[in-house]
Amino acid sequence: MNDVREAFGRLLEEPGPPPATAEQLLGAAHRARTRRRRTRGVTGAALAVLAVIGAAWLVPAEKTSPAPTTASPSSVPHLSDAAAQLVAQRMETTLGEILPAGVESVGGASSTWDGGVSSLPNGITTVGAFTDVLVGPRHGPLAGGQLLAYLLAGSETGAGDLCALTPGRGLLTGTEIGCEVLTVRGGKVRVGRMREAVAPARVASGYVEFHYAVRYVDGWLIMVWELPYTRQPLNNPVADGAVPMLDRPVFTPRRLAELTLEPGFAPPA
Amino acid sequence: MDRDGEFAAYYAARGAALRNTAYLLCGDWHLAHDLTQTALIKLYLVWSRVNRHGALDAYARQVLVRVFLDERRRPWRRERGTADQAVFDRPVHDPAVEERLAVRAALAEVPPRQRAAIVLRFWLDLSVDQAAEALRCSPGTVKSQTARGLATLRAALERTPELAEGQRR
Repeated sequence: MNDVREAFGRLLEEPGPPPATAEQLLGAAHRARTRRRRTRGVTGAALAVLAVIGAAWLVPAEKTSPAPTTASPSSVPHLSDAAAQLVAQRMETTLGEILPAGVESVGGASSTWDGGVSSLPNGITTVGAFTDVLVGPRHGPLAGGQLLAYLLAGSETGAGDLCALTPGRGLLTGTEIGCEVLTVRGGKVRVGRMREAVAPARVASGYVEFHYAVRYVDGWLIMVWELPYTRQPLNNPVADGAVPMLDRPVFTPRRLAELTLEPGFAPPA
Repeated sequence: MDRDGEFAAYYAARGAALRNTAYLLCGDWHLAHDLTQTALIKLYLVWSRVNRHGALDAYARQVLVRVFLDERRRPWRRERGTADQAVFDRPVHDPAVEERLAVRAALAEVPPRQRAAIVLRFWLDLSVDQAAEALRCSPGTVKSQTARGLATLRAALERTPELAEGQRR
Protein backbone atom coordinates (compact mmCIF):
# COMPACT_ATOMS: atom_id res chain seq x y z
CA MET A 1 0.00 0.00 0.00
CA ASN A 2 3.02 2.24 0.30
CA ASP A 3 2.98 3.02 -3.41
CA VAL A 4 -0.58 4.35 -3.08
CA ARG A 5 0.29 6.49 -0.06
CA GLU A 6 3.36 7.74 -1.89
CA ALA A 7 1.25 8.66 -4.91
CA PHE A 8 -1.21 10.52 -2.69
CA GLY A 9 1.65 12.31 -0.96
CA ARG A 10 3.09 13.44 -4.29
CA LEU A 11 -0.29 14.69 -5.41
CA LEU A 12 -0.64 16.82 -2.30
CA GLU A 13 2.70 18.50 -2.96
CA GLU A 14 0.88 20.57 -5.56
CA PRO A 15 0.16 23.98 -4.08
CA GLY A 16 -3.55 24.72 -3.84
CA PRO A 17 -5.35 28.05 -3.71
CA PRO A 18 -5.47 29.76 -0.31
CA PRO A 19 -8.15 28.24 1.91
CA ALA A 20 -11.16 30.24 3.05
CA THR A 21 -10.77 32.04 6.34
CA ALA A 22 -12.80 30.98 9.35
CA GLU A 23 -14.76 34.24 9.08
CA GLN A 24 -15.71 33.53 5.44
CA LEU A 25 -16.77 30.02 6.35
CA LEU A 26 -18.78 31.19 9.33
CA GLY A 27 -20.49 33.80 7.14
CA ALA A 28 -21.53 31.09 4.68
CA ALA A 29 -22.65 28.82 7.55
CA HIS A 30 -24.79 31.59 9.04
CA ARG A 31 -26.43 32.22 5.69
CA ALA A 32 -27.13 28.49 5.32
CA ARG A 33 -28.67 28.39 8.80
CA THR A 34 -30.89 31.37 7.99
CA ARG A 35 -31.98 29.75 4.72
CA ARG A 36 -32.82 26.52 6.50
CA ARG A 37 -34.88 28.25 9.16
CA ARG A 38 -36.76 30.21 6.51
CA THR A 39 -37.36 27.06 4.45
CA ARG A 40 -38.63 25.21 7.49
CA GLY A 41 -41.05 28.02 8.26
CA VAL A 42 -42.37 28.15 4.72
CA THR A 43 -42.56 24.36 4.50
CA GLY A 44 -44.52 24.16 7.73
CA ALA A 45 -47.04 26.72 6.55
CA ALA A 46 -47.31 25.08 3.13
CA LEU A 47 -47.88 21.65 4.71
CA ALA A 48 -50.67 23.04 6.83
CA VAL A 49 -52.38 24.53 3.77
CA LEU A 50 -51.82 21.34 1.78
CA ALA A 51 -53.30 19.24 4.55
CA VAL A 52 -56.52 21.24 4.37
CA ILE A 53 -56.64 21.16 0.56
CA GLY A 54 -55.67 17.48 0.49
CA ALA A 55 -58.46 16.53 2.85
CA ALA A 56 -60.93 18.19 0.53
CA TRP A 57 -59.51 16.36 -2.51
CA LEU A 58 -58.96 12.92 -1.08
CA VAL A 59 -62.48 11.54 -1.32
CA PRO A 60 -63.21 12.58 -4.95
CA ALA A 61 -59.68 11.59 -5.99
CA GLU A 62 -60.22 8.06 -4.71
CA LYS A 63 -63.35 7.71 -6.80
CA THR A 64 -61.74 8.83 -10.09
CA SER A 65 -58.16 7.66 -9.69
CA PRO A 66 -57.06 5.92 -12.92
CA ALA A 67 -55.42 2.54 -12.92
CA PRO A 68 -51.68 2.37 -13.55
CA THR A 69 -51.01 2.90 -17.21
CA THR A 70 -48.45 0.14 -17.58
CA ALA A 71 -48.08 -3.23 -15.99
CA SER A 72 -45.51 -4.08 -13.34
CA PRO A 73 -42.54 -6.02 -14.63
CA SER A 74 -41.98 -9.49 -13.31
CA SER A 75 -38.31 -9.06 -12.40
CA VAL A 76 -35.60 -6.48 -12.05
CA PRO A 77 -33.40 -6.34 -15.15
CA HIS A 78 -29.73 -7.01 -14.57
CA LEU A 79 -26.90 -5.24 -16.36
CA SER A 80 -23.22 -6.04 -16.05
CA ASP A 81 -20.67 -3.23 -15.81
CA ALA A 82 -19.37 -3.92 -19.30
CA ALA A 83 -22.86 -3.96 -20.78
CA ALA A 84 -23.73 -0.75 -18.96
CA GLN A 85 -20.68 0.98 -20.41
CA LEU A 86 -21.72 -0.04 -23.91
CA VAL A 87 -25.28 1.17 -23.39
CA ALA A 88 -24.00 4.48 -21.98
CA GLN A 89 -21.75 5.02 -24.98
CA ARG A 90 -24.62 4.20 -27.31
CA MET A 91 -26.78 6.77 -25.55
CA GLU A 92 -24.06 9.39 -25.79
CA THR A 93 -23.70 8.77 -29.52
CA THR A 94 -27.46 8.98 -29.99
CA LEU A 95 -27.61 12.32 -28.17
CA GLY A 96 -25.18 13.74 -30.70
CA GLU A 97 -27.21 12.40 -33.60
CA ILE A 98 -30.65 13.65 -32.68
CA LEU A 99 -29.83 17.33 -32.38
CA PRO A 100 -31.74 19.44 -34.87
CA ALA A 101 -30.05 21.73 -37.38
CA GLY A 102 -28.54 24.81 -35.79
CA VAL A 103 -27.88 23.11 -32.47
CA GLU A 104 -24.30 22.15 -31.90
CA SER A 105 -22.97 19.70 -29.33
CA VAL A 106 -19.86 20.98 -27.65
CA GLY A 107 -19.14 18.12 -25.31
CA GLY A 108 -20.77 15.46 -23.27
CA ALA A 109 -20.21 12.35 -21.26
CA SER A 110 -21.82 9.11 -20.25
CA SER A 111 -21.87 7.43 -16.89
CA THR A 112 -23.05 4.30 -15.15
CA TRP A 113 -23.45 3.52 -11.51
CA ASP A 114 -25.35 1.36 -9.11
CA GLY A 115 -25.95 1.37 -5.42
CA GLY A 116 -27.42 4.01 -3.23
CA VAL A 117 -26.95 7.71 -3.56
CA SER A 118 -28.78 10.28 -1.53
CA SER A 119 -30.88 11.27 -4.52
CA LEU A 120 -31.83 7.75 -5.59
CA PRO A 121 -33.04 4.76 -3.61
CA ASN A 122 -30.66 1.86 -3.04
CA GLY A 123 -30.34 -0.80 -5.68
CA ILE A 124 -31.09 1.37 -8.68
CA THR A 125 -28.87 0.72 -11.67
CA THR A 126 -28.43 3.85 -13.71
CA VAL A 127 -27.01 4.36 -17.16
CA GLY A 128 -26.97 7.84 -18.55
CA ALA A 129 -25.48 10.37 -20.87
CA PHE A 130 -25.67 14.07 -21.43
CA THR A 131 -24.52 16.56 -24.00
CA ASP A 132 -23.90 20.28 -23.74
CA VAL A 133 -25.47 22.12 -26.62
CA LEU A 134 -25.00 25.56 -28.10
CA VAL A 135 -27.50 27.38 -30.26
CA GLY A 136 -26.46 30.30 -32.41
CA PRO A 137 -23.63 31.26 -34.70
CA ARG A 138 -20.23 30.06 -33.51
CA HIS A 139 -18.79 33.56 -33.37
CA GLY A 140 -21.93 35.43 -32.43
CA PRO A 141 -24.29 35.40 -29.50
CA LEU A 142 -24.56 31.89 -28.10
CA ALA A 143 -27.00 30.24 -25.79
CA GLY A 144 -26.24 27.04 -23.94
CA GLY A 145 -28.27 24.16 -22.63
CA GLN A 146 -28.01 20.49 -21.84
CA LEU A 147 -29.79 17.39 -23.09
CA LEU A 148 -29.86 14.34 -20.85
CA ALA A 149 -31.02 10.76 -21.29
CA TYR A 150 -31.10 8.11 -18.57
CA LEU A 151 -32.05 4.49 -18.11
CA LEU A 152 -32.86 3.23 -14.64
CA ALA A 153 -33.53 -0.30 -13.46
CA GLY A 154 -34.05 -1.57 -9.96
CA SER A 155 -36.55 -2.92 -7.53
CA GLU A 156 -38.19 0.47 -7.20
CA THR A 157 -38.58 1.17 -10.90
CA GLY A 158 -41.01 -1.67 -11.16
CA ALA A 159 -44.08 0.26 -10.12
CA GLY A 160 -44.71 1.09 -13.75
CA ASP A 161 -47.26 3.67 -12.75
CA LEU A 162 -46.89 6.76 -14.87
CA CYS A 163 -48.54 8.73 -12.11
CA ALA A 164 -45.51 8.04 -9.91
CA LEU A 165 -42.25 9.47 -11.08
CA THR A 166 -40.07 7.76 -8.50
CA PRO A 167 -37.25 6.94 -8.65
CA GLY A 168 -36.48 9.20 -11.61
CA ARG A 169 -37.48 12.11 -9.42
CA GLY A 170 -34.11 11.81 -7.71
CA LEU A 171 -32.38 12.82 -10.92
CA LEU A 172 -34.36 16.00 -11.37
CA THR A 173 -33.89 19.11 -9.35
CA GLY A 174 -36.67 21.60 -8.81
CA THR A 175 -40.38 21.46 -8.26
CA GLU A 176 -42.85 19.69 -10.50
CA ILE A 177 -45.48 22.13 -11.68
CA GLY A 178 -47.56 19.91 -13.94
CA CYS A 179 -47.61 16.75 -16.00
CA GLU A 180 -49.67 14.85 -18.51
CA VAL A 181 -49.61 11.43 -20.11
CA LEU A 182 -49.21 11.43 -23.90
CA THR A 183 -49.76 8.54 -26.25
CA VAL A 184 -46.83 8.24 -28.63
CA ARG A 185 -46.84 5.47 -31.23
CA GLY A 186 -49.26 3.52 -29.10
CA GLY A 187 -47.23 3.81 -25.87
CA LYS A 188 -47.84 5.94 -22.81
CA VAL A 189 -45.25 8.58 -21.99
CA ARG A 190 -45.39 10.89 -19.01
CA VAL A 191 -44.36 14.45 -19.81
CA GLY A 192 -43.77 16.69 -16.83
CA ARG A 193 -42.83 20.27 -16.29
CA MET A 194 -40.33 21.37 -13.65
CA ARG A 195 -39.37 24.71 -12.22
CA GLU A 196 -35.92 25.25 -10.79
CA ALA A 197 -34.41 28.26 -9.09
CA VAL A 198 -31.27 29.67 -10.71
CA ALA A 199 -29.09 32.61 -9.88
CA PRO A 200 -30.86 35.91 -10.62
CA ALA A 201 -27.70 36.99 -12.40
CA ARG A 202 -28.47 34.43 -15.09
CA VAL A 203 -32.17 35.10 -15.49
CA ALA A 204 -34.17 37.99 -14.10
CA SER A 205 -37.09 35.90 -12.82
CA GLY A 206 -34.77 33.76 -10.70
CA TYR A 207 -36.12 30.48 -12.07
CA VAL A 208 -36.30 28.42 -15.22
CA GLU A 209 -38.81 25.87 -16.41
CA PHE A 210 -38.09 22.72 -18.39
CA HIS A 211 -39.80 19.52 -19.51
CA TYR A 212 -38.93 15.89 -19.05
CA ALA A 213 -40.37 12.72 -20.57
CA VAL A 214 -40.55 9.31 -18.87
CA ARG A 215 -41.50 5.92 -20.25
CA TYR A 216 -41.46 2.51 -18.60
CA VAL A 217 -40.55 -0.56 -20.60
CA ASP A 218 -39.71 -4.07 -19.40
CA GLY A 219 -38.79 -2.95 -15.90
CA TRP A 220 -36.70 -0.04 -17.13
CA LEU A 221 -37.44 3.62 -16.82
CA ILE A 222 -36.34 5.80 -19.74
CA MET A 223 -35.99 9.50 -19.02
CA VAL A 224 -35.10 12.30 -21.40
CA TRP A 225 -34.99 15.94 -20.47
CA GLU A 226 -33.56 19.21 -21.59
CA LEU A 227 -32.17 21.91 -19.34
CA PRO A 228 -32.20 25.43 -20.73
CA TYR A 229 -28.92 26.18 -19.03
CA THR A 230 -25.75 24.55 -17.85
CA ARG A 231 -23.38 25.21 -15.00
CA GLN A 232 -20.51 24.16 -17.17
CA PRO A 233 -18.61 26.94 -18.90
CA LEU A 234 -19.29 25.88 -22.45
CA ASN A 235 -16.68 27.69 -24.45
CA ASN A 236 -14.80 29.58 -21.79
CA PRO A 237 -13.46 27.48 -18.94
CA VAL A 238 -12.58 30.55 -16.94
CA ALA A 239 -15.74 32.61 -17.03
CA ASP A 240 -18.47 30.31 -15.79
CA GLY A 241 -21.83 31.68 -16.76
CA ALA A 242 -20.47 33.56 -19.76
CA VAL A 243 -22.84 31.69 -22.03
CA PRO A 244 -26.46 32.74 -21.54
CA MET A 245 -29.22 30.21 -21.08
CA LEU A 246 -31.38 29.16 -23.96
CA ASP A 247 -34.36 31.45 -24.12
CA ARG A 248 -36.51 28.73 -25.67
CA PRO A 249 -36.28 24.96 -25.56
CA VAL A 250 -34.70 23.05 -28.40
CA PHE A 251 -37.26 20.23 -28.10
CA THR A 252 -41.00 20.45 -27.68
CA PRO A 253 -42.56 18.29 -24.93
CA ARG A 254 -43.94 15.93 -27.57
CA ARG A 255 -40.55 15.62 -29.22
CA LEU A 256 -39.04 14.75 -25.84
CA ALA A 257 -41.73 12.10 -25.46
CA GLU A 258 -40.85 10.73 -28.90
CA LEU A 259 -37.18 10.62 -27.96
CA THR A 260 -37.95 8.07 -25.24
CA LEU A 261 -38.71 5.71 -28.15
CA GLU A 262 -35.36 6.32 -29.87
CA PRO A 263 -33.63 2.97 -30.47
CA GLY A 264 -30.41 4.50 -29.08
CA PHE A 265 -32.05 5.02 -25.69
CA ALA A 266 -33.72 1.62 -25.57
CA PRO A 267 -32.86 -0.71 -22.68
CA PRO A 268 -30.51 -3.57 -23.48
CA ALA A 269 -32.21 -6.68 -24.80
CA MET B 1 -16.66 28.70 24.05
CA ASP B 2 -19.74 29.36 21.92
CA ARG B 3 -20.70 27.40 18.80
CA ASP B 4 -18.98 29.80 16.38
CA GLY B 5 -15.81 29.75 18.45
CA GLU B 6 -15.76 25.98 18.64
CA PHE B 7 -16.45 25.71 14.92
CA ALA B 8 -13.66 28.17 14.05
CA ALA B 9 -11.25 26.23 16.27
CA TYR B 10 -12.28 22.97 14.60
CA TYR B 11 -11.79 24.50 11.15
CA ALA B 12 -8.34 25.77 12.12
CA ALA B 13 -7.37 22.31 13.36
CA ARG B 14 -8.99 20.06 10.77
CA GLY B 15 -9.80 22.25 7.74
CA ALA B 16 -6.53 21.60 5.91
CA ALA B 17 -6.77 17.83 6.40
CA LEU B 18 -10.34 17.81 5.11
CA ARG B 19 -9.32 19.87 2.11
CA ASN B 20 -6.48 17.48 1.33
CA THR B 21 -8.88 14.55 1.52
CA ALA B 22 -11.30 16.37 -0.74
CA TYR B 23 -8.49 17.02 -3.22
CA LEU B 24 -7.53 13.35 -3.29
CA LEU B 25 -11.16 12.49 -3.94
CA CYS B 26 -11.74 14.94 -6.78
CA GLY B 27 -8.29 15.93 -8.09
CA ASP B 28 -9.19 19.61 -8.38
CA TRP B 29 -8.22 22.16 -5.75
CA HIS B 30 -11.09 24.50 -6.53
CA LEU B 31 -13.67 21.74 -6.36
CA ALA B 32 -11.97 20.46 -3.20
CA HIS B 33 -12.43 23.91 -1.72
CA ASP B 34 -16.15 23.82 -2.57
CA LEU B 35 -16.62 20.27 -1.27
CA THR B 36 -14.88 21.09 2.00
CA GLN B 37 -16.92 24.23 2.48
CA THR B 38 -20.18 22.41 1.76
CA ALA B 39 -19.27 19.60 4.18
CA LEU B 40 -18.26 22.03 6.93
CA ILE B 41 -21.44 24.07 6.52
CA LYS B 42 -23.49 20.88 6.88
CA LEU B 43 -21.45 20.09 9.97
CA TYR B 44 -22.12 23.55 11.39
CA LEU B 45 -25.87 23.08 10.99
CA VAL B 46 -25.83 20.01 13.24
CA TRP B 47 -22.86 21.07 15.34
CA SER B 48 -24.42 20.72 18.80
CA ARG B 49 -25.83 17.25 18.19
CA VAL B 50 -22.68 15.83 16.59
CA ASN B 51 -20.34 17.51 19.06
CA ARG B 52 -22.32 16.08 21.95
CA HIS B 53 -21.59 12.58 20.64
CA GLY B 54 -17.93 13.39 20.04
CA ALA B 55 -18.26 12.39 16.40
CA LEU B 56 -17.12 15.53 14.60
CA ASP B 57 -14.36 13.94 12.54
CA ALA B 58 -16.41 10.92 11.54
CA TYR B 59 -19.38 13.08 10.58
CA ALA B 60 -17.26 15.58 8.62
CA ARG B 61 -15.57 12.71 6.77
CA GLN B 62 -18.86 11.03 5.97
CA VAL B 63 -20.47 14.24 4.73
CA LEU B 64 -17.43 15.07 2.62
CA VAL B 65 -17.56 11.70 0.89
CA ARG B 66 -21.33 11.97 0.34
CA VAL B 67 -21.02 15.49 -1.04
CA PHE B 68 -18.28 14.33 -3.41
CA LEU B 69 -20.24 11.31 -4.64
CA ASP B 70 -23.42 13.33 -5.09
CA GLU B 71 -21.57 16.02 -6.97
CA ARG B 72 -20.11 13.44 -9.34
CA ARG B 73 -23.44 11.74 -9.89
CA ARG B 74 -25.36 14.77 -10.97
CA PRO B 75 -24.09 15.20 -14.48
CA TRP B 76 -25.39 18.70 -14.95
CA ARG B 77 -23.52 19.71 -11.83
CA ARG B 78 -20.32 18.13 -12.97
CA GLU B 79 -17.71 20.70 -13.79
CA ARG B 80 -15.61 19.88 -16.80
CA GLY B 81 -11.89 19.61 -16.17
CA THR B 82 -9.92 22.30 -17.91
CA ALA B 83 -6.57 20.53 -17.92
CA ASP B 84 -6.82 19.67 -21.61
CA GLN B 85 -7.64 23.24 -22.50
CA ALA B 86 -4.90 24.88 -20.43
CA VAL B 87 -2.63 27.14 -22.41
CA PHE B 88 0.88 27.72 -21.10
CA ASP B 89 3.06 30.53 -22.30
CA ARG B 90 6.30 28.60 -21.86
CA PRO B 91 7.28 24.93 -21.76
CA VAL B 92 7.34 23.28 -18.36
CA HIS B 93 10.02 20.65 -17.69
CA ASP B 94 9.73 20.10 -13.97
CA PRO B 95 9.79 16.32 -13.34
CA ALA B 96 7.88 16.79 -10.06
CA VAL B 97 5.08 18.59 -11.87
CA GLU B 98 4.96 15.92 -14.55
CA GLU B 99 4.80 13.21 -11.90
CA ARG B 100 1.97 14.96 -10.09
CA LEU B 101 0.03 15.36 -13.33
CA ALA B 102 0.58 11.69 -14.07
CA VAL B 103 -0.63 10.65 -10.61
CA ARG B 104 -3.66 12.89 -10.94
CA ALA B 105 -4.47 11.43 -14.36
CA ALA B 106 -4.10 7.90 -12.96
CA LEU B 107 -6.37 8.69 -10.04
CA ALA B 108 -8.94 10.20 -12.39
CA GLU B 109 -9.24 6.79 -14.07
CA VAL B 110 -10.52 5.25 -10.83
CA PRO B 111 -14.34 5.53 -10.56
CA PRO B 112 -15.49 7.91 -7.79
CA ARG B 113 -16.80 5.31 -5.36
CA GLN B 114 -13.69 3.16 -5.65
CA ARG B 115 -11.51 6.26 -5.30
CA ALA B 116 -13.39 7.21 -2.14
CA ALA B 117 -12.79 3.71 -0.75
CA ILE B 118 -9.07 3.93 -1.47
CA VAL B 119 -8.71 7.39 0.04
CA LEU B 120 -10.60 6.37 3.17
CA ARG B 121 -8.63 3.18 3.62
CA PHE B 122 -5.11 4.18 2.61
CA TRP B 123 -4.94 7.91 3.19
CA LEU B 124 -7.14 8.30 6.26
CA ASP B 125 -6.21 4.84 7.55
CA LEU B 126 -9.82 3.94 8.32
CA SER B 127 -10.75 0.35 9.06
CA VAL B 128 -13.03 -1.50 6.67
CA ASP B 129 -15.95 -0.99 9.06
CA GLN B 130 -15.28 2.74 9.43
CA ALA B 131 -14.98 3.14 5.66
CA ALA B 132 -18.22 1.21 5.22
CA GLU B 133 -19.95 3.59 7.61
CA ALA B 134 -18.63 6.62 5.73
CA LEU B 135 -19.68 5.16 2.38
CA ARG B 136 -22.95 3.79 3.75
CA CYS B 137 -22.35 0.34 2.36
CA SER B 138 -21.37 -3.10 3.64
CA PRO B 139 -17.79 -3.99 4.65
CA GLY B 140 -17.75 -6.51 1.81
CA THR B 141 -18.52 -3.76 -0.68
CA VAL B 142 -15.70 -1.64 0.72
CA LYS B 143 -13.29 -4.55 0.27
CA SER B 144 -14.33 -5.18 -3.31
CA GLN B 145 -14.39 -1.48 -4.23
CA THR B 146 -10.94 -1.03 -2.71
CA ALA B 147 -9.50 -4.02 -4.54
CA ARG B 148 -10.94 -2.91 -7.87
CA GLY B 149 -9.85 0.67 -7.34
CA LEU B 150 -6.30 -0.37 -6.42
CA ALA B 151 -6.06 -2.55 -9.49
CA THR B 152 -7.22 0.30 -11.74
CA LEU B 153 -4.91 2.80 -10.05
CA ARG B 154 -1.88 0.55 -10.23
CA ALA B 155 -2.52 -0.31 -13.85
CA ALA B 156 -2.80 3.39 -14.67
CA LEU B 157 0.35 4.21 -12.69
CA GLU B 158 2.31 1.49 -14.45
CA ARG B 159 1.33 2.91 -17.81
CA THR B 160 2.90 6.22 -16.87
CA PRO B 161 6.55 6.35 -17.93
CA GLU B 162 7.50 9.21 -15.57
CA LEU B 163 6.25 7.33 -12.55
CA ALA B 164 7.71 4.01 -13.55
CA GLU B 165 11.06 5.75 -13.97
CA GLY B 166 10.67 7.52 -10.63
CA GLN B 167 9.93 4.23 -8.89
CA ARG B 168 12.98 2.61 -10.45
CA ARG B 169 15.11 5.47 -9.14
